[in-house]
Amino acid sequence: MIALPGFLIVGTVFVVFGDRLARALKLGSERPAERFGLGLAVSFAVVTFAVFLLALARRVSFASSAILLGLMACVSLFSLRETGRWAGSWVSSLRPRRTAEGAMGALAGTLVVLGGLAAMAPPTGIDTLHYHFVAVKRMLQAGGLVPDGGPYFHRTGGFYFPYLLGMALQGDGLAKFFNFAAASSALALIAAAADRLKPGAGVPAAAAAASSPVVAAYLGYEFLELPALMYVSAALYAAVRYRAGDGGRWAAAALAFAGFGLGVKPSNFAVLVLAAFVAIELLRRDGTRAWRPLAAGTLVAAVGAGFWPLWNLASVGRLFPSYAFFEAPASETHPSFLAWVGSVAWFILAAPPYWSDAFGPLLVLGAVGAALFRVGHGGRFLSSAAALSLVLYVGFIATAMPGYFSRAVHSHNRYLSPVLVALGAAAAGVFLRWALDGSPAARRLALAAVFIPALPLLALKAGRTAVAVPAALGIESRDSYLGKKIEVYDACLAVNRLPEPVRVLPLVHQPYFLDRPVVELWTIDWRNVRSGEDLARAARSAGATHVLVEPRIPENCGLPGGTNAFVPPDFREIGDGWDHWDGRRIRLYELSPE
Amino acid sequence: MLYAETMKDDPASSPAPGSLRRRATVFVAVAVAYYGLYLVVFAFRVSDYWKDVMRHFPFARKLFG
Repeated sequence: MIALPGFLIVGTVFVVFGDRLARALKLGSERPAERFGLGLAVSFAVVTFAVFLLALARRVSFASSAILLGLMACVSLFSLRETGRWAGSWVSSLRPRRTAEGAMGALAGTLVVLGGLAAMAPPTGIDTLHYHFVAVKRMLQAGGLVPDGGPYFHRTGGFYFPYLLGMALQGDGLAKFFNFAAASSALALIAAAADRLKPGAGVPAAAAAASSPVVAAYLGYEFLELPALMYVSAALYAAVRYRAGDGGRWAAAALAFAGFGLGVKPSNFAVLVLAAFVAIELLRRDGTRAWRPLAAGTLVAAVGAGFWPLWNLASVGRLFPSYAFFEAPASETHPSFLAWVGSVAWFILAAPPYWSDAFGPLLVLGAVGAALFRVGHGGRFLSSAAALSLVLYVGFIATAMPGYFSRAVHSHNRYLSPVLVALGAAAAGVFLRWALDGSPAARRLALAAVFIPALPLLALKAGRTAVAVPAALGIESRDSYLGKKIEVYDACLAVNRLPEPVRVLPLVHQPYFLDRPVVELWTIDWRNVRSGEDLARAARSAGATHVLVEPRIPENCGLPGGTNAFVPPDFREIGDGWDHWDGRRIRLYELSPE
Repeated sequence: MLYAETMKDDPASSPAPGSLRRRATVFVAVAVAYYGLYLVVFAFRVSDYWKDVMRHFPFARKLFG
């Protein structure tokens, strides 16, 4: 809470800097929501590449990060008064209205406020503390990029660098805030794109996007789907501007943002459909004059999508580290293609095992409705792009990742979400606007279509946020909150308090809160570990002095005996351990000298 | 002609009123069935989620158990 004014100042610098740069590139707009959304997206793209260069030079520190932010602030200073004017007019236009559109605006606003509150609490995302923030913390400890070799470290670099800037300047609070800012930008850009396609469709589109379970769940969270959604939404908005006749620069911008969207997560590859639509339109409309925006857009897109894979290639020898989990053994039998497509369709239409991966029915209905009722050319453009993205995704996964094909599809709908949420929510906005302008019955149905799935979701989000609010507002301490939410948190604090020398092998799912040097568990060759004695020998030779053990992790690593393998004389237990949900205890051991 | 002009709703390409009404009726009927199915599945997922929260965290067991 104390840090909030600082976060808002940093956020303002990002908005103003990006807006100024966009206008310098003749990508301006007079509409406040568009300036806000586009400004943030441009700034995040610039920061991503600038911090990557700092990290490559191993020059990431508080000082270098403050200098970068200071430079952005200097550029922003010249536009501060103008920003105050348009931001003021935007805020005053957001007053509540007793209309269907006002109700949808209130829904989107409430979800954003709840997400904002959740964003101020300490990070608790399972994957965040398992690898996203862990990778960023390792970079910060090393002052920049070091080849890590971890299975997750090399996969998803695009938004790690804004996170790195946030962590270097303040800590994980600012990094989390950057994710929330990116999500807000995404909602503004989806609304802007829909409003450009059909005037008045912006607010319904924002409500459709915000009330998609995958967005509502991750608003204020640290996962990468919403930063990816920001770039996809920016690409969509720029594509819409180009299609409206606003010049080839917008086509170049659409390609560039698509590239940065791909850079956030390679699994976001369905964004290529949007890029292909823009490139084809550019060539069709501008002929030989298309080469300049095409070349410029492709170049920036290649930078945005390519810098991390190139670093991977230079450091670990592969553009994209393997998704080993998805590479099924040859003997594994696969279901038939049709059965698999059926399961994909089911999990997209309904709710996958993680409720937070669901798209919600409104986006599907909106895209189908916009196509079925021929709601302008915009509706058809969005629906056909969404359909093609889905076909590309299913086709690619089925042909290129057979392991994924067989077993993991049911829980990874969200990999499609950046593209399908952007296109689906914009289509839903266009369709809802069309319905709101129709008969009173159509207006009532449109409201029901938005609020029936949104109300339980709103209750769920409010409940989750309520748990985080005391910590977000500083009423509850960070240690108390994290001690309740993260089972290994107290164990990590105990390791942090150990006297030197300490180098810990964390056999835990979420090692983020460890501040001491670590021996990563993937540096151990588990194929040669057949007993606790073998593990002690391997850990010692990797330089470990202690081992932190969470139940189930040794078993998952293939250690015979699991948690029972940690016995004297190789392992001496420190303390009495900590509770674990499965009834066993998390334990800390000192490795005896050889 | 700019694309902006072609993007306006085009009455000539819109379906006839009778056909529109039929199409709308079928669409709403399918939508109602879909929403019903979705909400049931979603309720199960959320219930699983809360069970998982209860299972994992002692504080949740104390508060809600």
